[in-house]
Amino acid sequence: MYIQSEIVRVS
Amino acid sequence: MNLPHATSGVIVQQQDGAFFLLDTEGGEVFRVNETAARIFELCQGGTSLDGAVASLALRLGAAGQEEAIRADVQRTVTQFQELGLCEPSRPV
Repeated sequence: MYIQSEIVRVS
Repeated sequence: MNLPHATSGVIVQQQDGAFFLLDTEGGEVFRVNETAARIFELCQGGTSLDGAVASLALRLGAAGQEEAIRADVQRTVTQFQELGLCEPSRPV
């Protein structure tokens, strides 16, 4: 099962 | 078509099961999931789009989902470029 990419800027 | 090159100074780090992209020059940090980390590594290697799709399908156990992977890779590398994590595409 392919999981879409996720990108989150963090402090 | 090749993926855009990763910006120099940006590295992938894995810590306690989480993946991070660190801009060692700009000081910014992004938390990413494994898919995004793998796509970024492919950008570091100067891989073609077709090669990236095949590699991700194999590594992430997603054979048969190549169309969804291709769309996600294109969306992700565009986001990398907007965030300065990959170099802008050269005009053709």
